[in-house]
Amino acid sequence: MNQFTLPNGLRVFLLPADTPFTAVVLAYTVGAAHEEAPAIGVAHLLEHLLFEDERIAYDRRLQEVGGSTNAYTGQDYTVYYARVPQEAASLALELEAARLFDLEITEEKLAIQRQVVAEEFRQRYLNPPYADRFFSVLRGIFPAHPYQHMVIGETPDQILSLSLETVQNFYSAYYTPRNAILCVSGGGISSDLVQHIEKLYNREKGGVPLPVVPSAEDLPSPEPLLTREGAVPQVLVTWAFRLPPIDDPYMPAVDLLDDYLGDERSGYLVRHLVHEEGLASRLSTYVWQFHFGGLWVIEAYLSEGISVNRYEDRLSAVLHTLPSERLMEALDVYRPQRYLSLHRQREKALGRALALVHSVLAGHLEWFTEPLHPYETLTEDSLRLAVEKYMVPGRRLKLHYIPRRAGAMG
Amino acid sequence: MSFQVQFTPPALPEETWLEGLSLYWVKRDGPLVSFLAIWDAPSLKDYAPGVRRLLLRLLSEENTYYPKGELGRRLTKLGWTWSWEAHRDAIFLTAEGLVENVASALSLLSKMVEYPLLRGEGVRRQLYRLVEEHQRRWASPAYRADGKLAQLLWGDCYTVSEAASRDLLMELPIEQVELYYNRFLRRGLRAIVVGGPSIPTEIHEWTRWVAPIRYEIPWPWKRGRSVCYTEHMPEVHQASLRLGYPWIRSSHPLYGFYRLALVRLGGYFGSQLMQVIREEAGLTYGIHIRVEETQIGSFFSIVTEVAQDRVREAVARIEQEVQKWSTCPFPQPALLREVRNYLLMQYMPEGLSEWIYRIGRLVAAGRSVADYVQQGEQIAAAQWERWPELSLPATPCVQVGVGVDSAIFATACV
Repeated sequence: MNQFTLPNGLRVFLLPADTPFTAVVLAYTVGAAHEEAPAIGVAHLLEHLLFEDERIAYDRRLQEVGGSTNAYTGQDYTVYYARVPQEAASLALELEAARLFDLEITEEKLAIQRQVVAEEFRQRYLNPPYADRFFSVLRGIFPAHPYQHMVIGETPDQILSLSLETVQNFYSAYYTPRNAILCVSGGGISSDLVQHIEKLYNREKGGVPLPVVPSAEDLPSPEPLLTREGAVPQVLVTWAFRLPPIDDPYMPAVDLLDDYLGDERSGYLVRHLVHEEGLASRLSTYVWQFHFGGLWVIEAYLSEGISVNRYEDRLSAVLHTLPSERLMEALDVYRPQRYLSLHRQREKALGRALALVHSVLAGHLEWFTEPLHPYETLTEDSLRLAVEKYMVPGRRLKLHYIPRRAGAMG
Repeated sequence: MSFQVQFTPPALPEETWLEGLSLYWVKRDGPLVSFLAIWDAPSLKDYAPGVRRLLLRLLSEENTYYPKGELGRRLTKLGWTWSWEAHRDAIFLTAEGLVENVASALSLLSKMVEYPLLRGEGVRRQLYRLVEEHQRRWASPAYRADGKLAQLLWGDCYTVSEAASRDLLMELPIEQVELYYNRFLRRGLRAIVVGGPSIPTEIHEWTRWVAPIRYEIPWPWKRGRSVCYTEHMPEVHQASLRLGYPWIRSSHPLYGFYRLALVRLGGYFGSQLMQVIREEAGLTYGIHIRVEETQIGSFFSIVTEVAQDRVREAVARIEQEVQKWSTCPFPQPALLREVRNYLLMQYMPEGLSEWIYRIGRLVAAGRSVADYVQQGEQIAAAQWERWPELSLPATPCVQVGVGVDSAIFATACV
């Protein structure tokens, strides 16, 4: 790996490999958490608009050479990437530089992309049953914090109200070299390419400092209980526990415990509450981690005839016994999966580039260079402490999603 | 100057014949081994909807050799993952994991196949969970539209469980699961694909599931006229549209050209449908093509979710674009160059996991790796000036709209 920083603050990483493909990733330390009301959703809308400047013709020109491109927006970052034949690496770099320095957004393109994002909103969060629960969960877990909003925005109508000025201001203020990380991974990385990067990217671009996102650890306790009704066939009970920032020393323990608890075939909670007691037809757990806080979620679709109280009593009881369990099993069984995921992730140029970029975004390059270290040093005690610290009522929000009517049944 | 992607065929597997089993091995250095087993196991109409889905769940989670969950825990601990997948004609077992544990992992996987729980209360419990899961999915208009489309396309020839009602699934005759298992899983293993440093000797044990099987799928698929289905769902926010068209088989001598044409219509971000329906009209977040081929035929479908208040406009524009495409898929040479380059990049898998899986799909479809390479070369050689005459469909044979009223299609709906 080679790395350098240009005078304008752009951090550059090169990961050469013997492959005919090259991945070019440009990530910004700018995401939904940096929006200010009423501009909710603007980071994600801008992500769409970076593909729309017809003078740059980013997509068309990369597609002409066989490239595939995409992007995603999170609370703390926005990541753009392209996978191209190595002969086209310099073209991908040119187009990415143009989007960083010279993007033009028109009212006409904005109007269409607002509609596209409104449809994305409906497709992801309104049409699928239960999917709108995430809006309530974030608001309840992160009250008055930037993470309280979903990345996509508040509602389709709210997205449709975002103005050209709002989007342009967000782009001009925060899309700067100082807030960006460039990674080129794969074949075709030569000294010429490095010079090309310096020529293309060593330009000044003004901007303003990013708003500071505070740690979610300082927030008051989450709202204890929320209830929603909808056209859904079964009761869904969600317990979400607020987590500390991503670099908290207990996060690797949380990550491993999450597999141990929620493995769909033999996880600890699945075993007890689904297989043995039949209280739920499906139970899953997941960690939703942002840079300055996160959520650890346990969700269950209750079996017919099982009351919320009965399920929650049993869930509490099973979680209560967790610290006294032989948690060494979590290490024995699930730690080898980290080796497997690592090798899979690093098999492709784009996978390596994205892994590196996310380590840098989080401020921990060593997560890329020594990715297994945090898992190798875990002990049974650290797992126990992670449960005792973070899976506690003071950090918990409950959401009960109740069927409103019987119409959605098959 | 136009750039052309050079097609470099992926590493060819070594193919051997092992007591009736086709064995494909791709040499793979490094820490991972990939494994894929393919059974000839169709979704025959002799069996009720849900039989294969329930069987795969039982294979995955219930076992008589170990206590519940223990087999999975052991595989997980070895640094391996696995999954079962059902296609209309075949069942796949895909696994991948750390090379140092390949022998133990294959032994556990073979126990998974050999000793599933197929009787008793455990089966009933899994059926109940399956029905609940189906009910949740069925509440989604997109899933419902997919199910109805599958039913209308394939329902004459195969059992289609995606569109089955809750009651029908609840009444599933449990004994059929064991019958199906004995008929197909214990006899229908046809191919194994391995990517690893060598061929694991444990694979010889797997030949015990190779034996002749006989079945018939009703043939041919025929419909006198196009059909459509619409369903009004008052609470949905978006309409799910699915338009199905007859398509050619991958054995067609001009398949490479057909593939290019289809990618042009809806196979990538720059496709005709994405550009017109999303980028020009803002009617949808996404629109794409899905192809399904079985031993009796092939269809492609246009899949999209669109704004409810503009659904008629969407249908009209999609139909208009398909009409244009069917007469001239590449109005300019630059478009063919673009699609050719895009498709060639997709034809060259990066990483062996992806390639192993693709080999498995080819084998299941009765194709060979040599066919794949030949198609890649055909795509690479495609020229606008020598574009062959193709027979591209202009009108759908099946139209499905969920979350719409009944008047959106020209055809009378069921």
